[in-house]
Amino acid sequence: MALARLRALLLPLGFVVVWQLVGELAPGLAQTVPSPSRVLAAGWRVLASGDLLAHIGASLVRVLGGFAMAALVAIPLGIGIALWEWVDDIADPVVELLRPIPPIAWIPLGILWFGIGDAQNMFIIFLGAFFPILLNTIAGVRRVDRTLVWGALTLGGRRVQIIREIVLPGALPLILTGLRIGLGVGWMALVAAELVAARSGLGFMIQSARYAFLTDRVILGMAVIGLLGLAMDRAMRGVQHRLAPWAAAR
Amino acid sequence: MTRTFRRLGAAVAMLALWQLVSAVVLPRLAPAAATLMPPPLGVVVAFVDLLRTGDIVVHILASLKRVVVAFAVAAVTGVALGVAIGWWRRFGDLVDPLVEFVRPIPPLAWIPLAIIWFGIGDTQNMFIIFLGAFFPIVVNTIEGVRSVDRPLIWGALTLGGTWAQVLREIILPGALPLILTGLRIGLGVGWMALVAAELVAASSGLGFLIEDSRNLLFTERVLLGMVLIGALGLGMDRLMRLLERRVTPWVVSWR
Repeated sequence: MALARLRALLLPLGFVVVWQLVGELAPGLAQTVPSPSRVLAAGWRVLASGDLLAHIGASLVRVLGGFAMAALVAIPLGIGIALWEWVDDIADPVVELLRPIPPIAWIPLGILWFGIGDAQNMFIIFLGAFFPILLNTIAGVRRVDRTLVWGALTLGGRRVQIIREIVLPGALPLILTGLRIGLGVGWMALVAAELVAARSGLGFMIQSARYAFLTDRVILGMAVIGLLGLAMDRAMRGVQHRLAPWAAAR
Repeated sequence: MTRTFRRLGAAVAMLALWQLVSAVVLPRLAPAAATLMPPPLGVVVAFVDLLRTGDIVVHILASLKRVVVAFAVAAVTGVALGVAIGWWRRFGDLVDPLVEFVRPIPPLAWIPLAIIWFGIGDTQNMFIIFLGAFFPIVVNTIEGVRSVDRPLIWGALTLGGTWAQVLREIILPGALPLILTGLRIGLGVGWMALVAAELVAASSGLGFLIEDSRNLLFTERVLLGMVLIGALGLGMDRLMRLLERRVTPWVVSWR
């Protein structure tokens, strides 16, 4: 076990060592391919000045805000579409018309509508997270065993009870999967939105570092974006294990 | 049948309402807002205009060329690497962690670094598309190769099959459904990544068109570009699904 773990670290470590050696042996490349030690030094500088935490905070607030709004709209709408035919008939054509447009392609229009900043960024995250949550909620509710619903109706269950006691628990695993995927897409969409239209946040940090030719800071920002995305995904998987342990695959 | 009509009716009613609000109500009540939300017919007019000048064809072709080239490179390298990782355990144990090390960084976060490395234009755009398409392809190929039924491999080896034969006759066909799924997802992510790359760093293509039109406040063209991006993405996805059904008809899909 320990040996396998060591071997797994071999190539990433080797990669970092070679990358560092390239930096040492070819100082001319320092501007375009800064070595890991320079990236770490840049990390220390932005951490010490408090800039990094401010950017991380700005990005997280936007992601959580946009994601929460997407969940609040998409889950009830998804349940409605799956349960009532008339909601499906009205909402589904609109959803199918809008869904193929990637959230990123909304960025210019988002800037026109909301200007530069939080509202625009959250709008893009909302769009990114909305459709995965909606589609998974619909699929989850449709997958609920009909006989359970009929049984509850036969035993005198009211509509609200059935939704709360049977439909929601039955759809929960897929809703949670939708939330996890939505958070991932939202995070990616946030980075794009911040690249183009923000004055804070990690996306803004790497873009402004690019303008200033601070390549070490660009790479640092990329690493932080990747780590935070990974951490959020892990957290959502943890929630999935906690709330729907019977369905948590792998 | 009536249901189809009802759904079509809902979509048409939506467009009609949008047309009414944008073309009649908004210009009277709030002329500034009217610029920000042009009517659907305005988008059609913009399309005809750009079609006449030929601009739109140039942008579409620029985007498609970038996607096709970068996707082809990602498909070849991604499938090859995925088969190698899934096939040789030893190689997989070594290389898989490196893939997992780089994979969490979203392709879009590479854009500023890619601009430093490659400047503005085709190379940078294709690099971002490549990154977007590469990882779904690799991950699905690994999964596909590992899902191949072991006894089939042992059986073939027992019957005197060579490793090359096993790879060609058993592993590849067995992994094909998941490889195709990876290619379809990769194409989708690549298309999204292209739009982002063109938004920031291009002087042609649909992403450039919508960002440039935004700067000039040609909102009709912004919407037109969005619709075209969505339609082309949908078209590519449908094409890949068709290919999946053609090449691996034994896989029963949900829809």
